[in-house]
Amino acid sequence: MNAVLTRRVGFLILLVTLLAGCRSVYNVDRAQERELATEGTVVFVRPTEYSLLGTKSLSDYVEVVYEQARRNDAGLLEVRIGLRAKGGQHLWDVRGRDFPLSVQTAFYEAPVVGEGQRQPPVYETNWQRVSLLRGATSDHKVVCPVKSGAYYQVTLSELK
Amino acid sequence: MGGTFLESSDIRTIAQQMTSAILSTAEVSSKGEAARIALAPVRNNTRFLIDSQIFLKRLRIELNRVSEGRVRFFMQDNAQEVRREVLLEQDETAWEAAADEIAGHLLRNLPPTTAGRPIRVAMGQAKNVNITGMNAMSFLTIVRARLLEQSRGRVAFVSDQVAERVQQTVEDKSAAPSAGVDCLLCGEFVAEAIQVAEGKQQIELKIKEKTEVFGQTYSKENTDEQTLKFETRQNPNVAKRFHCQLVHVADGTILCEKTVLLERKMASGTGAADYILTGEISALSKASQGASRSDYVIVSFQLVDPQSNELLWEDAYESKRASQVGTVYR
Repeated sequence: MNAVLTRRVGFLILLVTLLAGCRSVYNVDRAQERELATEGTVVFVRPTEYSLLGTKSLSDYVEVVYEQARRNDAGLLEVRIGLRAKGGQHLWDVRGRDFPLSVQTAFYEAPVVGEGQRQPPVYETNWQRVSLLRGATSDHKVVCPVKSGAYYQVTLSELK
Repeated sequence: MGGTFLESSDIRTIAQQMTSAILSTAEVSSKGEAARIALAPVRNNTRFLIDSQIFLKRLRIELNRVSEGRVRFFMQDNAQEVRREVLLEQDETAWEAAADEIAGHLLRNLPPTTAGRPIRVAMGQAKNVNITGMNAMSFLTIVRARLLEQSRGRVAFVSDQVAERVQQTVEDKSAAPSAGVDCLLCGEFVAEAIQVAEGKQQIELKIKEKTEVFGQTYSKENTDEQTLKFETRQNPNVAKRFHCQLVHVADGTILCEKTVLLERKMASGTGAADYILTGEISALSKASQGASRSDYVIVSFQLVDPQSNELLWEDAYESKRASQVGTVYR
């Protein structure tokens, strides 16, 4: 009796495994609208490295000194952000480091902040390299060459 | 991959930054119509052997992507042979329209006929055939055919023999009888060029054939020499027009005339350029006795007004990298 049951259960597990393996595509998770709505105009990418104490998150070392968006004389949206490496902020790392950042800016026709729904960007820069020296403020300027670009989101990431 | 010089991400960043900067200039943004830009090569002053034109190419791609027609470039390096063929074929097909235009103009300006008799016209010779390299008489024959078609009996052409005599009479200004011919249709090809183009070119080719004959007790060399002469006709790259005249045979006055464009000058199109976009790559390279080295690179771009040679816009992308590893670009 037990042998029969074991065989049937084994067969069932094998069938489920095979059926699951037969599917060639799976749905990708959709971004949560509530989470999207909380995103600001300058965001960090979650760090890929974790240390024993805390993280190596960029947000531990980088701060935004200023953020400015205006239309230039040609009517194009010009975004400037001041990024400063504020040095070590932890007991185990008081010195901090000089490091490069990757910065990408996406421009939209519709508002991004506070909106769950998001339209595709009208223009997107590549990941651009910004070098940060400890204590120095680096001015990152980007102009949207497409006139319809009115809103933006700047993403900062570790350089890979 | 690393290294101290520019990487592919730099090339993209350069293109994006320069595109925004060019589109922000007053010359481009405030111009009602598209700004036409000719490209001049990027000069590479660095120690790196790279394809320096890749910067302009990527910049042109970016500008074409996002400018929405605000800038226009010329195809300066590629597809020129096919373009030449297309233009030549278009010019060939335009000949019939040109013949129609001449015939229509001549008919509108013909003197009134007397006593219902058609105006007798002799077809003369076309001049300057050698300059243009065209079959002038064929074109004049097309004009004659169109004239006959459109005239509906108002015009009659005389035979070639009579036409030849009439042409001689007009050229000699003699009072010989004109066999009842009223007008002489003649023309001239005009090449729009200040420099005189060579009409015919003689090419002489000498062929020497050497034959060695060996016998049991002797050897002999036979040398044959042959001279071949070729005559080539040049087709100068200028705009070519045909000037057609209807001459009154009795007094030699020109009754009417018409000039039509037969072939356009083959040009690169850059003559219509409003600006020239060029660039330069410069670097300060340092290498220590060890393996460490650094490169400070400036990639600059300039927009130049071809008329005044003024720099209307200039911007640059800078990069400094240090590495222990040397890189070779291929």
